[in-house]
Amino acid sequence: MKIEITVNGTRHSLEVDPLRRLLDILRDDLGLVGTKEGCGEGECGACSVIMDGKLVNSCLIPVAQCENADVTTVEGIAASPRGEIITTSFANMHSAQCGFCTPGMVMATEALLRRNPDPGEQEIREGLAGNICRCTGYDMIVDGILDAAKRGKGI
Amino acid sequence: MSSPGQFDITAAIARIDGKDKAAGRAVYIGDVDYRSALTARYYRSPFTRGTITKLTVPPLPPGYYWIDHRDVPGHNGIALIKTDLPAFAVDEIRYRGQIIGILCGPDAEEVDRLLALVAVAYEAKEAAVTLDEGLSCKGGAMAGTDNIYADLNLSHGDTDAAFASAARIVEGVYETGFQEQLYMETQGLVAVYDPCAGDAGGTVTIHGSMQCPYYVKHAAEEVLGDAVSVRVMGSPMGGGFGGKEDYPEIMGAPLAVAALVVGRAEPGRPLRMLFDRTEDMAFTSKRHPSRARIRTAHGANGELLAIDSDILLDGGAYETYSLIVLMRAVFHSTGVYNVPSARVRGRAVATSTVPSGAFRGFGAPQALFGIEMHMEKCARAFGVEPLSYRERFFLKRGDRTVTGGTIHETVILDRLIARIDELSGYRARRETYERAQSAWNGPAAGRATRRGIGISVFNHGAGFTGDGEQRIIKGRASLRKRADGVVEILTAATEMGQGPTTTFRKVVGAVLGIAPEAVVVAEPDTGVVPDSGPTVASRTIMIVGYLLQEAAKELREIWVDGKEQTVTRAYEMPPGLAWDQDTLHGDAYACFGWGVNVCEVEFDPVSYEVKIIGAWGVYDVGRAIDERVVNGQIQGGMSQALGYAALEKLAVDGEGRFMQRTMADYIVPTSLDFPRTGAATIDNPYAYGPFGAKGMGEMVHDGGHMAYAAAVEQAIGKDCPRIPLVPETILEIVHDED
Repeated sequence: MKIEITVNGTRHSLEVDPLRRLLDILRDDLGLVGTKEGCGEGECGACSVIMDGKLVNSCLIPVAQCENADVTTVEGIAASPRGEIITTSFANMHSAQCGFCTPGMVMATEALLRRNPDPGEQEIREGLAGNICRCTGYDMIVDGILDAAKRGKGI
Repeated sequence: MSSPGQFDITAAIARIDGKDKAAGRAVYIGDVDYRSALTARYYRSPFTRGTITKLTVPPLPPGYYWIDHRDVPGHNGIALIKTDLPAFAVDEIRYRGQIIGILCGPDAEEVDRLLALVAVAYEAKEAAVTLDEGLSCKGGAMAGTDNIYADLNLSHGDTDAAFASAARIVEGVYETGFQEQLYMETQGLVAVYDPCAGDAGGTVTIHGSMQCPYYVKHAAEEVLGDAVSVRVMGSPMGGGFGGKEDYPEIMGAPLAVAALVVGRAEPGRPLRMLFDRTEDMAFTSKRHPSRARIRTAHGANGELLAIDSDILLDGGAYETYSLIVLMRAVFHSTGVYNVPSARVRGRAVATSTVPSGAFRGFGAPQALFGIEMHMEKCARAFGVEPLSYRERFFLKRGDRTVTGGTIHETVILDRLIARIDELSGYRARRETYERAQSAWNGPAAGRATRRGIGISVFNHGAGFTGDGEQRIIKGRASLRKRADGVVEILTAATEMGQGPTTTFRKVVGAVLGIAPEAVVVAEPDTGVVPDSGPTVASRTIMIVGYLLQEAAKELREIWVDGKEQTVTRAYEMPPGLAWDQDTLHGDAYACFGWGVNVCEVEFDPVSYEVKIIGAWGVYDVGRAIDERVVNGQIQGGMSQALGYAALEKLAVDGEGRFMQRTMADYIVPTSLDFPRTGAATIDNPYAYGPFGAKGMGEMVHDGGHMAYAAAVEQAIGKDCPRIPLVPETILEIVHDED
């Protein structure tokens, strides 16, 4: 089928098998490999993207559901003013170790800060509950988000 | 140029790889555009144990290939410590999922369709899936005549006499389960054969997610023989935790053979093999399950006179690394205690499960669980608080280790304990909860939650066991100063999140007076970097980082502007150490890292759920090269150890298959499960580590599980000698009337 999809502000017209996963369209067809596959079953959040304003696992979304959707990936966030702050805070606070979950964590952070630009630790932990990190024990990810919220006031 | 110490080495800097990783710009193996690559998949044994009598491969369309043991030009074995695991099964099968062949071709779906048509006929044998079934050789012995891969024995002093004259003997059995590394990036490798590259026979190149590029090279050379050259390139790893120490060899050697077969027909055509999570969880190596029986002989006042310990590790269907995991287990089996006499036995047992392998800690977390839970039991037997009981027997400088070596460093456990008590309030809370026990266990006991707090004390031998660094690894590391003055670090050390791409730069930058960010780190490519050894055994910063520090000092001395200069340093064993590999006698480790963990829990007597409400870790790592790198290891490692203790149940069925198959079944900690871990270090510099640093990457997984189990013991008032302590296990323990 043919679908129209907007990714990071660019409109694409794609001829696709409707059952293919949004994750594969992003990675294989559009070359946006910042979005990772950790489990392929919606448990780990490494493939998180924002679709029509909502944080979703792109491994669970058949592309047929993406007609006219507005999708933002980590590449899109990283290029934004808030993304610059988040990614810098993540580096400063050592929120990334192996880094494989980190793009998904950045997406969860973006979604959280859109809802609440000044979250507390508990709210941050709840905001990350769908994203598994095996390296950090999460504490330094929380630190990165607290730092980003502080430095990003007003953005 | 300036002198070292221009900046405080411990003060944290931003992770140099942090921003690219956060922005999605780090390139993992699955992100590399190998557009022309064939998809390669394994055909794995559909039965657990027995003999293949017939293999049927369907006719393959052009461009599709089948590769099996008949294609191996060299030796059909995976070169680990032993080469007993065949690269491709010939006829004997010892575990479900053992690699029989590779099918590859341009279309992934077609590869899967063809794979489903491959079939084997076989004669099945009875599987032996537990330690006891392995020990009793159920179905006949699969390894040797007794299913024992290795049987190690250490002893000193007159243990029998100590037990004969003991005022009291305490005895216990302690068990730990499988654990899955669950690195977030699954295993993935790309292999390609180019008949024209390199030497006369051409070159097989392997690129991918691995801890040890030179190990993978060695394993590929074993199967390929002398006819071709091998080059291996490590990509950034999305986590390893030991899971990418041995498995990339098990995976890469057969793939190298397949690359050779394909490359002869289609020169330069890459093969890509990326596991999905299901394949990764089902067939890659896990932490060895263990069972330790420990007896201690005591004087009337609780004195520790002798220990008699017997630990079993479940090695799975092939030996692979079990001997060296067992060594580390045995060498850590008396923990941080000075025991006048000891008899320690360790055995690795063959069973019909996936071969067990490397996982952060490498046998130490299992052995330390046994000794620490036993010390808790001894303290209860003598009616004293468990920390003050332990403190009577702590090792100190000059004391004898269980292998007859010497503790060479000043032991600062007293300071670590003072600090963790300050952070956690352990002693006061322990007493408070102890006093509450009578109410909890009395007639008024109701549905109110109960609390407990537990402590563990441990050490971890840093670096390779024995004289392995000198005898086997012979690590070398180089610095190259380019003509433009940029300094490049050349080592085979790999970045899996533990931070060497940041900490190496800090070490070299500090010596040379260069900003760490301006130092370049070469990719770990065996065609470019010297063999500085594998990225394992908590050796990277201590061993390789020290070589870099010393190379940087030399470069500083000979530095000439505008000229390319290279300095290489080779490992030399620190003076004053002695080791006999045949008798396992002497200094098993050049030095130890030391740690103390505290865990506080709240137990719900209705649901049997345990909530972790506090976690602390204080360590002697020599000196932290970067405070946030080290604290990040502490927090992450303790989270894994607490997961191991509280959540991560991985069981096998009667056919040796793991019953937890997905991330929905195998539960690892989320951001909501544990509170913030209080992490701290106290400096105790080591002369042969860079700026005094010792190895620490594994010891952070050595103590959380015992502290948790000790806390649960206090909360429920019962012994908890096995992990994982999931609610159903706790229910069994609470209702077991002994």
